[in-house]
Amino acid sequence: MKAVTIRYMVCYSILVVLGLLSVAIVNYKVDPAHLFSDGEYEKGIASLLLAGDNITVSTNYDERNMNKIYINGLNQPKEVIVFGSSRSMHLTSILFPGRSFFNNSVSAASIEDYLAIYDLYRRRNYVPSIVVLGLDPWILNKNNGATLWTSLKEEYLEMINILNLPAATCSSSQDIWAVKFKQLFSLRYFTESLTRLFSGKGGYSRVEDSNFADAGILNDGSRVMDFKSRNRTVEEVEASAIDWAGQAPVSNLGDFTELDRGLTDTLVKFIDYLQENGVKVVFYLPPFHPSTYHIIAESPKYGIILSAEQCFRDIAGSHGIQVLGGYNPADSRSTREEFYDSIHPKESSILKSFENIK
Amino acid sequence: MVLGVAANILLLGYFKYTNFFIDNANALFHGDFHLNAIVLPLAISFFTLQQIAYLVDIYRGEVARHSFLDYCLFITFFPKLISGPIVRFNEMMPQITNELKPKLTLSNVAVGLAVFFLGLFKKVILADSIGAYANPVFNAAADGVALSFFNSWSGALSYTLQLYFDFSGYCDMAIGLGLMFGIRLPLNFYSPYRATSTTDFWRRWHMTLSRFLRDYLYIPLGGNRKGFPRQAINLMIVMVIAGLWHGAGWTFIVWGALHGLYLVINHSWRRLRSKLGYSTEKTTGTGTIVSVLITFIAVTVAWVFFRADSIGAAAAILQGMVGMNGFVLPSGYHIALGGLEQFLGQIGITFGPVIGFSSIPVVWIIVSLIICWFLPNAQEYMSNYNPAFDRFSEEAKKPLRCLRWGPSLWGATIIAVITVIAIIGLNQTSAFLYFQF
Repeated sequence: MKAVTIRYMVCYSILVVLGLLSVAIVNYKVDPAHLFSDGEYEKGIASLLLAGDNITVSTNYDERNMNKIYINGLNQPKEVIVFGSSRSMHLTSILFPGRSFFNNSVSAASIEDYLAIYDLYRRRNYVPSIVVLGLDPWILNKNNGATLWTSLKEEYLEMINILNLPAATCSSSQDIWAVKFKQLFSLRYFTESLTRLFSGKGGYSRVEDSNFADAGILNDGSRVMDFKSRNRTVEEVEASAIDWAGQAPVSNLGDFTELDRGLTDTLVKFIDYLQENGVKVVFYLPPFHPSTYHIIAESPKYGIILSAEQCFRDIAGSHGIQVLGGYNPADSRSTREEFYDSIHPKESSILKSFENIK
Repeated sequence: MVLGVAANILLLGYFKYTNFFIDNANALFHGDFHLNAIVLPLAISFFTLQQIAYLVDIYRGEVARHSFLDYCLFITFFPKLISGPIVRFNEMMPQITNELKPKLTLSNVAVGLAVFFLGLFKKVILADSIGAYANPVFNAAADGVALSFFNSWSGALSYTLQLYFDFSGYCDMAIGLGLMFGIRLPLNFYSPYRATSTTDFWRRWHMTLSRFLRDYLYIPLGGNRKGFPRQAINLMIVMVIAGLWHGAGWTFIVWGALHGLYLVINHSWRRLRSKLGYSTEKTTGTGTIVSVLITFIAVTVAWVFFRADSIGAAAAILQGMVGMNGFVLPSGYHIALGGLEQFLGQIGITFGPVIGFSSIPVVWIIVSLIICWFLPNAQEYMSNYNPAFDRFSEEAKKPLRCLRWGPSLWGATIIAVITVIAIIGLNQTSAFLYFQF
C-alpha cells in the first residue's frame, strides 16, 4: 500500500509541475497581450502610426510602451495631446482643426500614466500648447488597483522628482515584473492564449480607409471600437449601462470610499507644472450613459463619483481651466444613442462636449 | 456552565449585534446614538458555538480530563477555525491525545491533498465563475431596478449555486487540510440540493451547525416532546436564531424564519400523510423528483433574502421571479427566436434590455445543476477512504468504481488537472462567502 501511495504521489507531483509548466510555456509563447515580447509588436504599431497610417489591431498590447516608442520616434512636437483612459480614446484631431494632435489615452489610465507619458514628451523637449486631461473618478482612488502604468515606472519616478512629490503617492507600488509573472500562471491569460492559438487571429495591419472591420487606431492616436461594439442596438447598450452598476468592483472603483489626498495633490502639482511651462490645460469629464448616471446619482454607494467630479471642477475653478463635458450626460446634451456602452461616449457626444471649447 | 455560556453569548452579542440593535433602536425611537465601528474578531461566530458546546459537554460529563493546551488546540485548530465544521471535543481530541495518535501518513496526505484541491477547484472555478452572474442582478435590485422574470431567476439561481460551491469547497478544503495533519473532521456538507425535504436539507447543509442547534437549542427547548404546536414554536425559534447567527440583519432573520416555516410545513405534511395512512419514508421515483424540485425552489427563494442587501431588494427580486415585471428576453435573442415572436408574444414573452441574463449564465446554471444533482460529491468520490466522519457512508450507495478516486495513475491525473486549474484560477479569486458569518 505504501509503495502504491508513493508511486501515486510521485506521479501526482510530476503531473502538477508539468501542468503548471505547460500553462506558463503556452502563456509565454502565445502571449496574447504581448507582455513578454521585447516590444517588437509595439514597435510595429508605433512605426505605422508614425508613418501616418490608420491601423487595425485585433490583440492587446502594452499601450504605454507603444506610446513611449511613438513619442521617441516623433520628428516634431504635437500642439495638442490628450491623456486619459478608454473613455477619452475617441477624442480625435477633428476637435482641434489645423493643429497637430495626438491622443495618448491608455486603458484604465491612472494619474501615474499622465505623469509618465508627459515625461516622455518632456525628455524630447516637446512642450505641447494644449493638454487635454480626460478625468475619470478612479484616478483619485488609492485602491484603484492600477498596475499597468508600471511599464513606465522610470518616467513616472522622474516626473515625481521634478514635481517634488514623494514616490509613495502612486496608487500601486506593484512591480511590472510581479504583474507579468502572475500572468504566466493566470487562468484568464491561459484561456486568452488558447483562444488566440485556435482562432489564428492576431496582429495588426494597415487600413487604407477608415472602414475598420475590427478595433483600430487612427493616425492621430484616437481609437475605433470593434465591429460588435459599434453596432450594438440601443437596447443592448441600455442593458449594459444598467449592468455596470452590478459589477463589483466597478471599473477601478473598488474600495473607493474617499478622495485620496496624495493623488489629488499630484494632480494639482502636475497642473501647476504644466501651466508654469505655458501649457494650456483643458479638463474633459467623459459623460456616463444616462441610465448609468441615474444609478450613480441615486445610489449612495456611488456618491464618491460625484464628489470626484466636484473635486475636478474645484481644481479647474482655482486654476482657470475650462471644463468640457461632465459625468451627467445632460451637461453635454448626450442622448442614449450616443454611447457604446455604460461609460464610453460616442464621437457625436464628444463633439457636443467640445463645441464650446475656447 | 451557565456563566461560561452567558459570557460567550455576551461577547458574540457585543461584537456582532450591538450596532444592529442600536440602528434598530434609533429607527424605532428616532434616536441618533452611534458607536464607533466595532471590529468583528475573525471566526467569532464559529468559535463561540464551539466553546458553548465544549462547556455543555463538560457539564454533562461527556469530556475526558485534558490540559489547557489541549483545549487551546481544540479551539484554534486552523483548518476548521474560520468557517467550521463545528467540532465536538470528543470527536477531535482523542485523535490527538494518547488514545489515537494523529496519523501523519503519506496516505493521509495523498487523500487530504485530493480533497483539498477538489474544494479549491469548486471555490475558484465554479463558485466564483457563477457568482459573477448573481452580483449584477442583486446589485441592480438594491439600486431599485425592476427585474423581469428571466433575469430574476438567473440571479437567484446563480447565487444559489455560487453559495453551494463556495461552502462545499470550503468544507472540502477544511477536511482535506485536517486529514493532512492526520485529523478526521466531521462531514459538514452532503449534496444538500438533492434533499427531498427541508428537514433533509438541514441534514445535508452545514451539518455540524444543524447538529449544534438540535443538541444545544432545539432539544433543550423541548424538541418534539411537548406536542406539535410547541414543536412548531421551537422550530421557529431555532431557525430565527440560526438566521441571526448568520448575520446581524433583517434579511437573515427573514431567511431563518422562512426556513422555520418550511420545517413546520414539512412536519405538518408528514403528520398529515401519517394520519391518512401513507408511509412517510417510502416514495415513488416521481415523488422523489417532485420533492427535490419543490425543496430546491423553496431553498432558492430563501437564499434571495440571504443574499439581498435589504428586504426591499429581496422583495424586488421575488416580484421578478413571479413575473410581476414581465417576461423579457434580451434583445439579442430576437434574431435567433424571431420566428417564434408571435407565439412568444401570445404567452407574454417580449424582447428588451435585460440585466445579467444571457446564454452564458444559463449554461453555467445548467452545468452546475448537473454537477449538484447527478455527479458524485467529494465524499462519494473519495468513498474508498472516508476522509471525514460520515453518517451517509453506510446508507448511501457508493458510485461506480470508475467514479471513485484511488491512488492510481488515472486518479493522479484527474487530481493533478484539478490542482493546476485551481492554482492558475487563484489570480481572480474572491473571499469565501461564509467568512463573513
